[in-house]
Amino acid sequence: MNMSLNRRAILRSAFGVMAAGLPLPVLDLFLDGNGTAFAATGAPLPTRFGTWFWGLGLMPDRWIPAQTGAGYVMPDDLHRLKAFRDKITILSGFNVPLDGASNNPHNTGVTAVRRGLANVADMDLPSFDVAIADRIGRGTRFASIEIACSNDPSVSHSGRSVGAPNPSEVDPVALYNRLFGAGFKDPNGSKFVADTADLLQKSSLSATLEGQRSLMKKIGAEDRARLEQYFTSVRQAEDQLAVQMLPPAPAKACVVPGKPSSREPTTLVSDVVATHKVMVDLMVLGLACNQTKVFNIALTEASSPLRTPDNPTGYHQMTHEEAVDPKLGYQPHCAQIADLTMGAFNDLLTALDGIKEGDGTLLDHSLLFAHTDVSNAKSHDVNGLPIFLVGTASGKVRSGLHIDGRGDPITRAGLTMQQVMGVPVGNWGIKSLEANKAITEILV
Amino acid sequence: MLDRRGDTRRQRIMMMRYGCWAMVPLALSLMVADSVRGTAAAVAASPVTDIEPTTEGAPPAMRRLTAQQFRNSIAVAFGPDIRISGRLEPDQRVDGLVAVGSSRASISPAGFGQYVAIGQDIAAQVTDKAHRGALIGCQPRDVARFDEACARQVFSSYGMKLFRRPLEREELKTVLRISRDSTARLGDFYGGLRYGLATMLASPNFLFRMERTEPDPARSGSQRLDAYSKAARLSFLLTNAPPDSILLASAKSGALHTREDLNAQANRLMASPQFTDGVRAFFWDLLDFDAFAALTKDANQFPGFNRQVAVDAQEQTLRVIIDQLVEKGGDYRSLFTDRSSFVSRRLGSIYNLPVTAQTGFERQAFSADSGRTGILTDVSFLALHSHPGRSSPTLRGKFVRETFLCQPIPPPPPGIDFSIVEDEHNGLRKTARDRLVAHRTQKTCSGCHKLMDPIGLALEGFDAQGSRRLLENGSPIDTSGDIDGAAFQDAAGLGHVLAQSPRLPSCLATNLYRYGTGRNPAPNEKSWLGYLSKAFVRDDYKFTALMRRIATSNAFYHVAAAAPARSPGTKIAMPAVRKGATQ
Repeated sequence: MNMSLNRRAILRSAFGVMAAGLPLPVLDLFLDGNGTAFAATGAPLPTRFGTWFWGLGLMPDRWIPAQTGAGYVMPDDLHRLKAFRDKITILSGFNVPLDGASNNPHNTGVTAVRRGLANVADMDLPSFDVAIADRIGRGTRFASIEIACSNDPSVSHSGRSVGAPNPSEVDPVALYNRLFGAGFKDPNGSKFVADTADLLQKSSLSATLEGQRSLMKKIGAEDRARLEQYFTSVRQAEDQLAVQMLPPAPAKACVVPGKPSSREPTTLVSDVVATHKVMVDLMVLGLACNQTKVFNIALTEASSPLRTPDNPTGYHQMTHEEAVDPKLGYQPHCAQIADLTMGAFNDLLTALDGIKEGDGTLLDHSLLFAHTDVSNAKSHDVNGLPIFLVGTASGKVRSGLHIDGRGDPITRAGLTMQQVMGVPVGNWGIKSLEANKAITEILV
Repeated sequence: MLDRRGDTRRQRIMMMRYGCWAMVPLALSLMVADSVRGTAAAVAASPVTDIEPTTEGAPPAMRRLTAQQFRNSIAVAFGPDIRISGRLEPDQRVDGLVAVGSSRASISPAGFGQYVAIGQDIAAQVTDKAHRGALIGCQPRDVARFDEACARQVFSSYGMKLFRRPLEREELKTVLRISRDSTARLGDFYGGLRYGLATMLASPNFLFRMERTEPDPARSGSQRLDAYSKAARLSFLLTNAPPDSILLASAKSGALHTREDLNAQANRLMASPQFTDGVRAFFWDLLDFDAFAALTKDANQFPGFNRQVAVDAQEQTLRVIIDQLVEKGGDYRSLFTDRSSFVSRRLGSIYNLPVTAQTGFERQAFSADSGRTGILTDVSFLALHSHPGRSSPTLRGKFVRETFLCQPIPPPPPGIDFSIVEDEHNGLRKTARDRLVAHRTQKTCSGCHKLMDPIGLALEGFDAQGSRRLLENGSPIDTSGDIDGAAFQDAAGLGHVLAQSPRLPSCLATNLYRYGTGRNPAPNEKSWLGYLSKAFVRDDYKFTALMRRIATSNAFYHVAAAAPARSPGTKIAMPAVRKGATQ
């Protein structure tokens, strides 16, 4: 049963009307004996879903474990993630069949993984995280939060359609304001005060929706889809306002952070990783404070501009230009940046795992899907591009495995994520990318 | 995310259709003949007549306001005092123009949330004690109660400004109801007005330019834009802002449908200070200046290049454009051949020029031996189309081909390996030219690189931030080359060769028309674009004449009677391709 409805019912029955000034202390007694659910309502602790994107893949052969199944030996390129080995499932060998479409460098792989199609000219499909946000994100203030450590908010792989990408927050201050600024209701605050402004705003949004039918009649068929997207956004805003009008659910792990300082955008990998850490720390607290259940992080755009202080050439250029060291068998400078990139991923896992919640950590109560755009950046190969799954989705998923897809379509990963998070979908993807079988090895 | 430039579905289809990259010259020539972007050039041989060719146009548009148009709309409605705080939906660039992207863009949930918050903030400012005296044209009988007559007056007036047409009866009823209910709850008439205004500011009728049609009395069975939609097209083209009160009055009376009034309105707006905003907006879009937001340079090599320099660099080029094309009513080609410019103190350090003015810009002319001529040697062009630490002849050449000559360059093939040709430590290939020559000997690369590189190599005398240099890795830089057989020795020569290209005027005419309509031209507009580009040449390449001709044409306002279904996939653009995988 839906948690917010339960709380609504309880609060209504206790106070007759929606209460203003209702004190809501957050105590362990709100949790059941197992620490997995709110005792008062029986509703489980929320499970979160997140994606983490990095550009330009990893050095071929340096990230795939020699063994499949559990207990794999952490490969060289992933040594920074060693502490989390048992929580990370590595997917290798899943392919992106192109059905004759051209490989649009740095785009095709992302589109296949996130939208289930190789050729975006075929159809406009939502990214699968949106389907998950629709399923689990409606009861929180934000259906999802997007972040990119770039100065371009359009660096985002999440969206209901290509024409309406979910823009990324690119500045820590803006992210802080979004999560904890105006409109934030502290779940641990001593008093909940229903905000008249929310109520008035809700009727304003309802009025906007009233005009939908007559407006739809007046526009051409081809613009109708875009207008429908707009009205979907209005309805989502309305739903979220409804959430704001109820006392927040208790969230013991919620701590309101201090305001960060703004950071000058650069492409130095050390700066970007540091900015990422600031943003991730804020976002993790946003999750702990139930502001959202879904997040999408892009460390950089696919053609990553990251670089080290000693080298004026960006990572993307380097992947094409740096010679393979004959002794090492790989591009050493590129490997260095890939390594620092995985360090950023480690920062995210550490932050999620650092929040204790009920019987585990926020990481345990999450399902994290990390992916990139290519398997081999030098040649733009998209087959076998790396995907990492982290967390158990509150016990629904087995973790710590290495699974070889043996050439199966990569969409099996996205299908599995949707099914685990409760999206009623039996098959996903188009043409040869259509997947109808989840990755059952990870299902509990 | 949509593609930033040129990387169109059409190109990909052409590439698939015509096979490999080695065959690009063939594909490209077919593309150009086929492409609407090249249409004007393809028909350049036809004679000019004074009669505008007949067009059918395309279905009416639904365009999301760009960020700048949103700001301008608020300024036109409420005056410049009203602050806009918060982030608007990022503009989307499709086929090289944000204007074309605006016809594909919708509003995401997060973006809508931002519009709501910004709208609430604007509405609160408009109705606060500091502004209500000036902005609310009536006073309630009792400030604690709802005053319908006053509210009706406020919403009718601002509704007209925000929706760019009068509110319909139902729309007015709705905002009055919101306002009445809010007044009752807050006990404050102005608080009630605030929620009514906020409702309008979040409305699709404000956030999108929704064009409406009516039966065309001159063409039985056909539709035409209604006068308000026509006014908006005209106004956004010329000023990048919604219609002002005079233009709205002309739409209301229907006068705008007459040739005389349309001409008069266009002349009036082109004589207004807002016209420079309109011209700036077009060139800001054409020159890809939104990409400055994410531009960074290697601080070790270029410690003087910072955000403020990037802002000044854009301003410099836009000032030159306004000075030459608007103030002097000059020839578009002078943008590629003239050495007069404007420089700020911050830019002086990049140009190695003494600048007297402590703040702002001063007029300066580059000397003949500076190597600089025209906007292609401005920092805004050179730095934007370079890597953080390295110039890029390919990126520079690509932009010139696509933007000024309307010759789209396909993206690089997937399986490329530059490591042999790009090794800067290879003692035999010290300069970019040496490396690119090696590049162009590779069959799959040569087709496109020979279109891009000669142009970019002419600009190699300027590094990644746009500063002058004569050597690269100790070797002298050879800036000579040719475009389609016309030879030049250096950047100045490049500018002069470009200025002579018959593609240059036709490409600008097509781009300005695409900008104004927010779409690629329809097949039925081929003759019209040929006519337009011929007329532009005949008008001595005067940009203002081109603008006026579009603004007062029939073609610009024609709408197709029925919206044909789009072919599958044309709504889709690729996710962003950042600056290419090329040198």
